[in-house]
Amino acid sequence: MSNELTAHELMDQELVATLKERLDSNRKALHDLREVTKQLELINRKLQESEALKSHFLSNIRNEINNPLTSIMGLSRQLISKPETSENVSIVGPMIYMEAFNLDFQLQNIFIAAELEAGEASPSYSKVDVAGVVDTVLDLQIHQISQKNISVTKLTPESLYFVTDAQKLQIMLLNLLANAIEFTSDGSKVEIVAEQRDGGISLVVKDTGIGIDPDKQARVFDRFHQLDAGTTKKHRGHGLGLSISKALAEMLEGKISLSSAPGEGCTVELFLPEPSVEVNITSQDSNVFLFDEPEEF
Amino acid sequence: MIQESPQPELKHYLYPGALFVDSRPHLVTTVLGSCVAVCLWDSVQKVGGINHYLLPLWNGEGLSTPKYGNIAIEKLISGMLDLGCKKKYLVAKLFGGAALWQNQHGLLRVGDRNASLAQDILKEHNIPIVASDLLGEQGRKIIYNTETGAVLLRRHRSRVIDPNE
Repeated sequence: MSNELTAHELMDQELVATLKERLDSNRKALHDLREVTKQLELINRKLQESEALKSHFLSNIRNEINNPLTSIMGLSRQLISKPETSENVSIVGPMIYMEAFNLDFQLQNIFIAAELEAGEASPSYSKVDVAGVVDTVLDLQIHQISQKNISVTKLTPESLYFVTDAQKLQIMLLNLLANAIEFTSDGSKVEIVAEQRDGGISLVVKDTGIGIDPDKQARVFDRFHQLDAGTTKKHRGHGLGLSISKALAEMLEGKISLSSAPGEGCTVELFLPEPSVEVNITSQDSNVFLFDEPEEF
Repeated sequence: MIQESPQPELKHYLYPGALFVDSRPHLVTTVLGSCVAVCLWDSVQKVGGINHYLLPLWNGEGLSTPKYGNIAIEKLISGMLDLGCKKKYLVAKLFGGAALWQNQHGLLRVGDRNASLAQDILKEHNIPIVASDLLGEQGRKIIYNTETGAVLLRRHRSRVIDPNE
């Protein structure tokens, strides 16, 4: 009899324990579900914003492309009408170049963004003269730099060779430098530092411009996102530069990080590691010893 | 009659986050860890396309690239349709989604989520999955013949972390 009771009691205890366990796991599931729903709402909002920005971009593109083109047409007509004045050439020539450069730069960014979103971009690795790429990028921006009277300090080793994608490196650096120049006031300083460290290369672009609010820093990498948007925006461009640079850096297994405070300028670091993919990986037989015998599907 | 060459001459290495669709026969190689590759093949036109995504869903950050499964699969399907393929003739093969590290955080491991996303989206599109090799703990290297739809798979011997992680 007493034995039976104990057995009953045991069963009751087990039952209670099981019930408690189930209730707990239910509560946990409910909690997880709430968390997931919250995340979902957040993502949904971001996606809606992104779509809105994309349509905004399509209407904006008119200004961004038409304005420089109109300037180029007007300025070159001026040249044609008075070809005899060399003075004219020395003033109007650089203006045409600047407008054309900007247009080319914006278009290049749009095409690269399209290529990245289509999944058609892929890295092509080679041994790259990094210091040379820095020089090229500075050279490309020389007119903007001198127009805003910005003093650029370049700290790169005399020779810095690294296996990476030269073209993508140049696009990233050009965007970082263009941002630094755009958001730095006239007569200020911009610094570029390139060095080899931690098995990779680090490229830092530092400006003394308006800086970015810490809670807005994550958003600057979103496509079409400009902190200063709308019809009254002071800065040109589509808000593609950083999102492209981030996607390109990730493609090369690297990353871009940003540190800034309002009014204290902005420091952007691009870090690229030594590529882990073998340069000759396209050969089918590479690494065969690491893999088991093939199976067919 | 001249016998057809058994293997396409054109070769392509598919990087993580990229997409490949081409009407010409190719041998496409890619290496997968927790990433998933969807191989689509048109059984009538004998052409194929493949993607290689790292994460299941795009959350609105950065660019909407085929690094994310929901973008990569939709873009692959529309890429195939752009080649003139008919959806009813498309078949899919899925690979990857391994768990290369134990004790991963999150509600589910990323490999699992990558794999189930492909199954869900393909089901929505009514594209049958005719073969798959998913999950597990080993990386995989696949060579996809876009002309025959055949996939040659080699399993990584050890649980070594592969390049796309």
